[in-house]
Amino acid sequence: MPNLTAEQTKIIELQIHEAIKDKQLRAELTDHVCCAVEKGLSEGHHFEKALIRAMNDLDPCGVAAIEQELLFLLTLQTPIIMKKLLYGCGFIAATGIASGLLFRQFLWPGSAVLMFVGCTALFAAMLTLIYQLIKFPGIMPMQSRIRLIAGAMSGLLIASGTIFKIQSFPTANIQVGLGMAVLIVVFIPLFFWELYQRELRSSH
Amino acid sequence: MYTWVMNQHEFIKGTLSTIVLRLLSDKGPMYGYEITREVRQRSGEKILLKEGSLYPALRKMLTDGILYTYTETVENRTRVYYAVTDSGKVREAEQTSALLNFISIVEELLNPPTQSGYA
Repeated sequence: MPNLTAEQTKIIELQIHEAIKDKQLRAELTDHVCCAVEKGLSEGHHFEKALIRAMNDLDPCGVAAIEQELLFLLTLQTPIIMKKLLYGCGFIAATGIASGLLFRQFLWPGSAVLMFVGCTALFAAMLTLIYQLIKFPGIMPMQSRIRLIAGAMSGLLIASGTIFKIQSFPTANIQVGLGMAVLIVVFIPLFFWELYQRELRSSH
Repeated sequence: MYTWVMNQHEFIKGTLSTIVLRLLSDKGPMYGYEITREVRQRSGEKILLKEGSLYPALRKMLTDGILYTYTETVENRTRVYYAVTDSGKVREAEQTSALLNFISIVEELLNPPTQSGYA
């Protein structure tokens, strides 16, 4: 099988390096394309034609798609960890805030601590949700994405505002007010609109 | 033929790691292009591994600790060789046995014995 010249190898290397960031994958794909081009040359094709064929065979959607698949496989575990974190924090937040409100109603001691723990957990849960929505968007209608981001933002603001209020820090009311505004104006209407649309779809 | 080509990718998806592990166990260390060529030859040109699935799958197996790599410089370029670790050998035996078992069950399912066969 004919070997490639240093210049031809460089051309292939440049094409792969433009599309791929991962160092090992770059080396592997460069070698792969070089081998395929060498085969093409042995079959009597010109370098350019053999290169085009090798690149198309590698992935018709472009070599960058291979790196995307690699990232997907390597980060497959991450959303599972994030879901555990989200549900764990969500559970602590719901329990903390509900028992904090109960303790406050009956004037039992410790309500502020419970509310603080609950709101901190809510803050962590909302941060996790926002990170997950940005990092692993998945396939989701734009309307649902806006609803979730608005919900998470209002959760963040309400949680931080409540923590500020407990600690008697300034701007607590502004944060809670903004959080409530986003919740009332964006999240709640979208949530019920989506529920209504889902019901309509399922009844047809 | 069309149906086979259409479904091939789906069939291979679930068996890719077993095929690769078996090949590497049989033949020793191999690089990516060599794996695709070997699969093509062994299957009589019927199975064409997609590089877009192969390299990510190889890396996943590497991070799972069932493969290890070493590099060599060949014709001014880096070549990454993959080989099976000890835990990979155990995994290969388990996966091959499970896959063969599954194939035989599917075969029975698709070609059930005739009524007279039960008598």
